[in-house]
Amino acid sequence: MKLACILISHLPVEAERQRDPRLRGRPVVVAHGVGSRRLVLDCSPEADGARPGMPLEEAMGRCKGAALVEADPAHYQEVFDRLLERLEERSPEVEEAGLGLAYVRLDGLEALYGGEARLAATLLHAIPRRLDARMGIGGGKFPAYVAATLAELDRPVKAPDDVGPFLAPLGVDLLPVSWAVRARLRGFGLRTLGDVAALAVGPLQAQFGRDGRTAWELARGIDPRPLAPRTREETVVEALSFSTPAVSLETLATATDVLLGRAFSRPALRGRYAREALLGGQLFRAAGWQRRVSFAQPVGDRQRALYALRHALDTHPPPGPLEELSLTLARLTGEAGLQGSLFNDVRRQDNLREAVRQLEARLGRRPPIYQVREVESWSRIPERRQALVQYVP
Amino acid sequence: MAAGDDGFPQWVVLRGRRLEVASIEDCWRIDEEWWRGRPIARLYFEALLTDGRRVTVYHDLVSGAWRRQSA
Repeated sequence: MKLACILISHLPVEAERQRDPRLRGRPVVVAHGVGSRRLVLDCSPEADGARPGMPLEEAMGRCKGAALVEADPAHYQEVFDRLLERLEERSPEVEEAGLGLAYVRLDGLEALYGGEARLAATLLHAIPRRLDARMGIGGGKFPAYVAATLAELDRPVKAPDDVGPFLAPLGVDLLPVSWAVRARLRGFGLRTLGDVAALAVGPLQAQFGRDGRTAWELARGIDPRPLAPRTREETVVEALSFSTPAVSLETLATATDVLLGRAFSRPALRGRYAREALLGGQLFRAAGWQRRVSFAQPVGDRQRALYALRHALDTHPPPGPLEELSLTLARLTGEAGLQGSLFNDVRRQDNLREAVRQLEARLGRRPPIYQVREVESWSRIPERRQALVQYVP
Repeated sequence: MAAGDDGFPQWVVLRGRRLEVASIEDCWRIDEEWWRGRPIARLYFEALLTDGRRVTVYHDLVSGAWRRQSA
């Protein structure tokens, strides 16, 4: 197996710079919230002293004058998805291994592109230069990744077939194991991959378990992990912009209805159903917003989808005015549609039971719902045969 | 409700409309709960009305009232 590793170390920063050219040439710190803490998601190389994962106060204290940007994960993923689509135009197997990290299978493509060098150049040209991507080529994921870390822009590095000496002088920080395992390796004096490869696998496995065996294999260039190409999911996307930022839920509901009308009129959705919808948009002077809605049952018509999306907007409205709104219908089913239940009464009973429970919660008492029950079906007095009793699910 | 000399219903009033009884299809009597202080004694008639409807009526032999059996 021959793979190329595409590594974009600062994709969030570059994506923000593309959106706001005023950030170019300046140190940039991209911040996000993790629970109640504010941490650095990414920072530009010019932001001396700051590093990903650092508390934001500490990072801004060390790098005064850095531009602070609120993270927009949806936008970064969108930028990366577009890149992956461009790579998939060149190779049929592309794996998304994380934001800014992708593996591309090269086997059998050299002949199409006129050699390995041209193939690598073609892949690099598929990536916008502003993303500062680096490429490594190797016989497995780990060798290709290590080669990418050593590469420069427009100059891919290829790991040799005898990868042991290539890996030996490099640090154990490159291993895809936890920070704690790496720290313990250094504690045992194992600072390079060569140190790890020189040991027998038994002691490493005894000390570190599965991570020990993984570290040993990778340090020797043995990487059995297969390439897991991403599956391209068919989606239908519609979007619109507001002339003035939309605040009211009625406006958003109307806009959602318009987008649903457009989406369901598309030939791609004819006779098909969607299991999931994603509402998203750009907030006024703020980051993006997304709300994912999974339909209890696949919907194939505009009204049912609008009912569910409107409920989602009512319960989780956007945190601010929206400048644009997009709708993505995903997880499309085939032409078959819904399968009917053999036991219709079971579902009806479940729905009725749930409705009664919700009424009781809303009224604070048993709802006035009654049913006729047979009590003395043998009675000669007709009005004694049945009784009106309160319905209990 | 009105009964003839034979005790059979002649006409009934349904929702303000008076309807003649065309024929008596069935007749039966029930006597229940005589061991209680309030016995039940009824003479039932299944009547075919002139507009084609069938109704079940009974003559309460204890109170003397005529009623329609809806159940």
